[in-house]
Amino acid sequence: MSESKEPKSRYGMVIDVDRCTGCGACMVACAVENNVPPANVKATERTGTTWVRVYRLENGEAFPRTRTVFIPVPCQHCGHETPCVSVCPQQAVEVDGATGIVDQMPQRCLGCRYCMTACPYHARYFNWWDPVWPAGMERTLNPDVAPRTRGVVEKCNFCHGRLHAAKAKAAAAGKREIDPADYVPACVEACPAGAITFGDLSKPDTPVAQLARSEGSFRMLEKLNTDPKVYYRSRQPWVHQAAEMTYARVREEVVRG
Amino acid sequence: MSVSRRDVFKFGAGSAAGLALTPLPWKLLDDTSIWTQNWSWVPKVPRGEIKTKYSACTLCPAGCGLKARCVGEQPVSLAGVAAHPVSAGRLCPLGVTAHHVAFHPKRIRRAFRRVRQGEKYACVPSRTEDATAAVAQAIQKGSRVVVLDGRPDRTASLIYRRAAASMPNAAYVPVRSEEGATLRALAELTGAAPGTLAFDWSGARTVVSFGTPLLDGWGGPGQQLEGKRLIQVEPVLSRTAGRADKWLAAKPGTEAFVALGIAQIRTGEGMALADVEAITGIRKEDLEALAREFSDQGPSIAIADGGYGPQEVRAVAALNLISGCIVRRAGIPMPAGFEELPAPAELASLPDGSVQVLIAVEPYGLPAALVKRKLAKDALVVALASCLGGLTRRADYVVPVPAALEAVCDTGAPEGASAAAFGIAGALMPAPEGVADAAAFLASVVPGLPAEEAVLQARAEAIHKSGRGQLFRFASGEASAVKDVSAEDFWTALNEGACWTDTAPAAFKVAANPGPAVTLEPPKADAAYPVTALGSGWRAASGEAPVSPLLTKIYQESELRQASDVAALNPATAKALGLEEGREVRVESRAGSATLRVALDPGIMPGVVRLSCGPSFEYAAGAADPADASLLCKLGDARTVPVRLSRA
Repeated sequence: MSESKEPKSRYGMVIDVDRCTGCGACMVACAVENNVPPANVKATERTGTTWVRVYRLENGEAFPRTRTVFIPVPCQHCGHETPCVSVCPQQAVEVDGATGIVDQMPQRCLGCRYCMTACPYHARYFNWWDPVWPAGMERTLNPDVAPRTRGVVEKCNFCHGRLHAAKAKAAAAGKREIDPADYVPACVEACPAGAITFGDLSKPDTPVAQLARSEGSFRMLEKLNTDPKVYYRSRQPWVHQAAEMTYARVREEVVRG
Repeated sequence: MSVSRRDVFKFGAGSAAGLALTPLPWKLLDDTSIWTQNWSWVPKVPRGEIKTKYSACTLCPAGCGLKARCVGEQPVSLAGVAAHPVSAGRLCPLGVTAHHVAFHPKRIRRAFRRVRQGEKYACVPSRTEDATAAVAQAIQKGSRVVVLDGRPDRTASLIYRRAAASMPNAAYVPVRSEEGATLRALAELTGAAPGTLAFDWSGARTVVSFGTPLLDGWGGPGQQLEGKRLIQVEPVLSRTAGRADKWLAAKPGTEAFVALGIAQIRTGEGMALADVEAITGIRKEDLEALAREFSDQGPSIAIADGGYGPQEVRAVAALNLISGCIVRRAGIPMPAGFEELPAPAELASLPDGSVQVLIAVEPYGLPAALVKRKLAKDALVVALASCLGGLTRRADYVVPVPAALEAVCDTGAPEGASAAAFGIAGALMPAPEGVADAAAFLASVVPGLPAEEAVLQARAEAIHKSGRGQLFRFASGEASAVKDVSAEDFWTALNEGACWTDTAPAAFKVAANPGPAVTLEPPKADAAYPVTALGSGWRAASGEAPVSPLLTKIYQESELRQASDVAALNPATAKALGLEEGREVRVESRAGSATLRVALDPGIMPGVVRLSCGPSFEYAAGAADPADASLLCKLGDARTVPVRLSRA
């Protein structure tokens, strides 16, 4: 493999959960950008496909001391011994050395779902059904992203298509480096609360790198040593504590259909 | 050489082991993955020239600026317009997917009639001309006609008002949303003309919100609260309460008494704190702290746009007369010929059974029980809608109109803006053939009505003639004074993506006397229906308002938002009633009942059940079904409804 002559980047994001209102604009904008279809009638919150999912977290106190935050969880783009990469039998998952983005190649995926088991953040989604859009709505699909078929796993890739477009624009202008304003993932662009900051963590003077290093920033499940590139910020201590816990949500699911 | 059976097996096993060491099986597995993903039924992406166009979202009155990425003439994604003076580049989940509404599974493209067949109704194809003829005949007989506007305060609404004024026995009735209730009450208290008052958001330091979803759809995506202290008064930990600096959990139906407590401390006219504490459940110390904050951390805004009754809103609105954070804004200049129109009527004030012809424009989120009471027996109902839902289920004729982004219309200033604003939401997609807007339908009934586009242009001319304000162009992000732009350029810029904002409004001098006292009655306990049902909804997504099918991401596929088949309870309430999460619960009121699914939420006050007002993703329901799908319409029309819960 030839060594890349491009400067290495490490794209990541910082999400301020104290600003997030849980509106869901990021989830919906992601689905628009990445051609994720509307839910099958039988889909539930366990079988639905949401590349970024916003969870509601409570502080465990009784009313009226209850407090909540909303936590958007995309793929964390783990940088150290990326769990989903090592388990994939098809080499359908790869860490891009130039950007640090963990890419998923649905065309190679055979749907064993081993990566879903390996992912500690539950950030991977299996296509239980073929994609179906209401009649005519397929005209609104993004031409830069291929729809996936039933039987493959998919996940957030930091809107890799937008990175390619930014690189093409930079190359056309004869530049080596992209303009940060040209590469903004759909969720970041859509957030009306301005809760998500995105950029190159390897450049110390970028807003995302400064926020990631500053007081109050944390990552989820740090003890697993996966080196995720998604940081979170909150002034509330209970949120920091919650980030270190794994949750077993025990609920009898009412099976539909 | 003889080859034994054992040799064959040995060769076979050796070949298999050898093959596994080659790339061949992995290559075949890889190729099989690819071959089994190229099915003809997986949609192909569109191809074409990529363009950028600008418009505005019209799904709610906020009118947020839109930047559309288009493949050919079809928008494929929408984003906010950076530096937009009103929406500040923000969009809510509805705005992000506004271009999907045109493809909604319940989209209406042809007119139809509902005809009774025995006990049931059937839908038969019809023509717009048949509906027109039926209405014209009824008008000739002198029937009482009401034009019910589901999307009021637009330029098209002026045409509907003119149409009603031109008919011999007709009234124009806007469907008032909760948003703007406080300012309407303030106008009544001060004698100001309706629509001329606004909150001074830039001048305010503190906002005391009574049940108003300021961070969840009210007035646009919430930018007016930046840098301000927010205190939220309501019985549940809503999205707004969760982000507020302080949340005061008042019992449902008692929030306005908190306003009387603040008034008592600041002016001596209100209600004693001990009484407020007994009614609301909020401690006296917290009420005192709130009153101090309201004055000491002012200027302050008090707002109650949460679906409260008139007296409750009035009690809260009066607080703004103490804090002095109101401005008087000039209205958007009227186009010539529309300056003198009769005042709109209110739905509640129409006599019961008096409406003989109802022409309902985009009637999705109506108070169905109230509308039904006002209709005469055998009333003729014509619904003008882009999608099935709401009143289309009861209409005799349903006539299609363009969906969002299919026709030109205007946007104004949301409640979160202090100055008046005006913009044109240009059409990004063509409407289906034969589908015309509601103004065109009314023009076929009332000859001489102008077309909507002509009135929009006349309005733009009136604005330009005033010489006030600035024109902000979406593409360049630049603003220029209106007086520096020609009338022709002004109209062209608006159609290509721009908005006008008025000059800063003047401070409103508050009268020393705040007006007549309000009369509030604390909610009475109902032993038979001991739990209080509280409706929660998202303004533009309530009832059966058409929203993108992709919103399943935040409902069905994640349960981020409460679906309309869910009853959310405090765990203590559920335990006391023997209810468990995920199980069915029967919710009964004096008006009706529903069977829902339990969800537990410790942020809900014990003794309260939160129900969702929509949206609906039930695409299979038939057009002829007269049942109203809106849950709260089944249980009652008020903001809080006494109910009882039992295991289903």
